[in-house]
Amino acid sequence: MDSKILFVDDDAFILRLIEAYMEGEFQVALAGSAGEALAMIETHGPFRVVVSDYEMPGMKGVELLCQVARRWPDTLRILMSGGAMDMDRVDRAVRAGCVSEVLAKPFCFESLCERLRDELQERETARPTKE
Amino acid sequence: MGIKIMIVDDHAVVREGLRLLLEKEPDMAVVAEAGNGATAVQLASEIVPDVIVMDLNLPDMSGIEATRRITAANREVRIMALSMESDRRFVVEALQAGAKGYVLKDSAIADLAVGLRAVSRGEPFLCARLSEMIIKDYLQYIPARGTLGNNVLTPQEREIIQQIADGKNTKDIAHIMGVSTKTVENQRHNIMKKLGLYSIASLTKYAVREGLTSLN
Repeated sequence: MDSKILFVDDDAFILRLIEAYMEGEFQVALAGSAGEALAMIETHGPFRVVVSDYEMPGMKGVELLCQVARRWPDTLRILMSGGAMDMDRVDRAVRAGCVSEVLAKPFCFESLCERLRDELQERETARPTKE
Repeated sequence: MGIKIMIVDDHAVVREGLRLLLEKEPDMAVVAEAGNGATAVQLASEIVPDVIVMDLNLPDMSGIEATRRITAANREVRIMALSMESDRRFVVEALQAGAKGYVLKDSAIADLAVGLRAVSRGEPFLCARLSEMIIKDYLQYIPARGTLGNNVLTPQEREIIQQIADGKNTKDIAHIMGVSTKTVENQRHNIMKKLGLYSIASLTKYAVREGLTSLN
């Protein structure tokens, strides 16, 4: 698993802004739906981090991250929240370990970048060194 | 300070993303943000930015209406419409309301910075997809309105009218084109009939107007 980060949001413009802001620093992949995200992970994954919007047509972000947790447990799973959310469901998913973190919208791009940097650094540090 | 920009979009995430990206440009500074049309109109009159990036889908008044009010109050403030909406009626309405540019949200983000610079200089700007659409529309519109008469003439007739406008007589034209003088006379008659122009002077004017010859 390398430092690839997958962003999932049905708002294509938000995805493009995230990509334009982060592409110099991170390996960014984009998906417009949960289904597309799963297909991308199967084909190009696993990803170090998956950041998903909560509210999407079809499969919601929380369901996507639960599936990711089951199939790719080493992937950090961040849920972007905003608007009407089923908080009970999100809480259950967090307690069950399906969602690693919840990021409230409107989120700060720079805070997200810092979190991603920390995550990549932690993984790098935790990686066993060759003897 | 460079180009003073105001961002109008009801999504805070979009405003922040745009602000961070535009502030990476050395000649741009985001001086204000608004989440709805009414605030945009008010801030535009107070701050007077150089360019406003205007989302057209706003929760209170439409971005088009906000554009209309802002440009009516101050013609110096330039508006760059930013929208998912590529319907030509929407685009035309935004431009008629006073937007100087229009960029689709699926355009390259870099296009927006290029467009903002153009609009800040007072130049119109459309993203590539809209430019293509407008040009296609324009090309379809011209023959339908009969603005240009070139299409009704054959290539040989166009050549004859060009030679007439250049001052050549029938004999010269027949020689240049390698046809008989009778053929040239017949074709000149056809041209006059097709265009409804029955003098050398009016044919010459027509040739100049349609770009078949120049005044030089």
